[in-house]
Amino acid sequence: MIKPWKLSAFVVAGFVATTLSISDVSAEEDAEETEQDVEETEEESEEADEETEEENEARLFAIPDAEEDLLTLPRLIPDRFTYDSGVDIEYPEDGVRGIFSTAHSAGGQKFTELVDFVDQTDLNAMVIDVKDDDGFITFETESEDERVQENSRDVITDVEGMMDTLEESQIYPIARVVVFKDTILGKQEPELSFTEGGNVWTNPGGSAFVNPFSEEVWEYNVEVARQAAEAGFKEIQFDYVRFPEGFGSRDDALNYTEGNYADSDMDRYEKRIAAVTDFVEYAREELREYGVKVSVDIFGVAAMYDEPNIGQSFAAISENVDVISSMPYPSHWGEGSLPGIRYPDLEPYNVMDYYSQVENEVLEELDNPPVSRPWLQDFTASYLPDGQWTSYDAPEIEAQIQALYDNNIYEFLLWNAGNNYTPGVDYKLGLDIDIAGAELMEDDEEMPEEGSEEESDEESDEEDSEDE
Amino acid sequence: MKKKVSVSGLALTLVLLSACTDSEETASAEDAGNAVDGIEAYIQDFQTEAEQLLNVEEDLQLDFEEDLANDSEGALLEGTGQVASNLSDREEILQSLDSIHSQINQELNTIGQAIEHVDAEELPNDIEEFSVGLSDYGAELSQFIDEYRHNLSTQSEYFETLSSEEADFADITDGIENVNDTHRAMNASWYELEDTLINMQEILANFEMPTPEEEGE
Repeated sequence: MIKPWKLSAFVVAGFVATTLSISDVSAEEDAEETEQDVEETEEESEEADEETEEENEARLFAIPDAEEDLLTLPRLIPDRFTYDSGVDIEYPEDGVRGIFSTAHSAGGQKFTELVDFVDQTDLNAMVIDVKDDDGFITFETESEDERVQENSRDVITDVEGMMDTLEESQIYPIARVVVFKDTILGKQEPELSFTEGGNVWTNPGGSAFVNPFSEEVWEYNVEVARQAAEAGFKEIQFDYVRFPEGFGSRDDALNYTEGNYADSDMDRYEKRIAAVTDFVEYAREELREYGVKVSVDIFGVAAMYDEPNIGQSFAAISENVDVISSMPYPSHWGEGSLPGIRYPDLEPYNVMDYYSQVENEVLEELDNPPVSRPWLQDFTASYLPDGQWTSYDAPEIEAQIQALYDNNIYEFLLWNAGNNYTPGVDYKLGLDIDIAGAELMEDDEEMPEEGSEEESDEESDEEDSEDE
Repeated sequence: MKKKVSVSGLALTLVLLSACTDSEETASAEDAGNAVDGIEAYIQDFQTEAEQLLNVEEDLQLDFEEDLANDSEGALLEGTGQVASNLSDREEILQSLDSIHSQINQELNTIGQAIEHVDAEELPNDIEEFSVGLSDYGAELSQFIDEYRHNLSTQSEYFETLSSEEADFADITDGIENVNDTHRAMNASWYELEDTLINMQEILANFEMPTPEEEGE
């Protein structure tokens, strides 16, 4: 399907082509003049180059530019310089393998069950909602920001106790902060959101978004992230770092500001990508003093091509984070949308193998590629048409993990909206992993077969949703 | 083009120079000629060392990153890392520049003695102008060294701060800003140094010192 913005480009190209063909004579004259202009410009340019060369020859030293900094803040800052929350949990040496927990799970009885589950397996991390899909901040913070105070709810009633437990088990805590999907803030302050006919626009699911062009929104979310870091989270994972889905087809009907981007020479798509990317860069810089890592959740398809309508560029975002967590869930790909794979949900290995190769190619092009830590599907997509989905049990999850390992990706997160994770999964698949030393050793255990499409006898009837 | 004295070469120049400094009355026309050659060589040495200063300075960011990465090994805390070496290397270069500057002054002193004691007919008419011109520029070399030493001292103090267990994130960022401000202020000094060296080289290129053979004819 041709995307609307591509369609616009075709229309413009067609218009230009038509204009040229109906004024041939004038075009020829123009061409002669243009050729002359080009020659003159080239001569001028050569002269300027020669002058510069002469000037350089006369110079004795390669003196740095007057505005050039001698020092910049290095990427790696030792812990002794950064904020000390008092929570001592190290980044897992063999890479992060985590699960997702809602705030209700983390703040309730389910928490003990999840901690035990992680303790008893090769998992080692937990992603916990700190700002949830509605926009609520899930624990009472000490922030002086009025918006943060107003939108905080005491869901995780004992953050300190939760951190103590995670510390005891050395479970690496990651704070999930849903950024631009924020019904609460959007409705409280419509000027920070998108409005239509005087009302805050909501998507078919009833969720409102706040405006990625708004730096007030950036600051608010970074303040939430700061509170998470002060509570002891070691990593901030931003989710919904984008414009609403389908924004491209309705942006003309919505009222919103482009803020500091309004006067830019960029087109509307470039502006969106710039705003989303700039937010990530801003957040990462603002959080440096806390010593936390910054990660972003992103559509799996974004690794294949930029998503200008929603402002996501996989490469641009990746350049500005420590960890990139794409969401290439097999169930989310359409029928035949991946080469050689008719029903993606039935082929977890092949989907993840194909995706990993695409992602690796993108990341290899970057100067400072982040760690790749994709989300894996630990839910059954029974909402798909019969014959196109399968129950996701241990073999399907292991198949996804195997595909990652086969593509040198050694970190992952498991998504299950209800936080009910499949038991009996071998998360390491016989690999001894030393991320720091980059040494990978296979032990004697037999590897599971690649591309397992084996269906479980037990059919799950849970209807999971996923973060995006 | 300047005609070279027949007895040239840096080694010999140095021997003659040390002889000159032993006694103020021994400067001859030949000594003056050798001093001119010496100055030319020292200016080239000064340029080479200054280039090296820039090169080592350019490595500071990487050295800083490496030390932070090895912080647990005490690279910054104990001053045993790459940054300490970088600072120390540049201090050595500054000492070398000091030394070269002194040697240029000694050569100028020798020329001054020759002007004072040698029969004026044996020396070029413009030797005094030559000597004064170089002396003025020589003072600028000294000024550059002082300014760079101040710049280096700012950097040393910064890294000294980071060696404290009490140092925090603000110390890192504020200090970087301070270092960069001082570094940027050096930019004009580098261009002035470049102009100074170019001017000194021009003065040398435009000066002719007769050879002993020519004197005999």
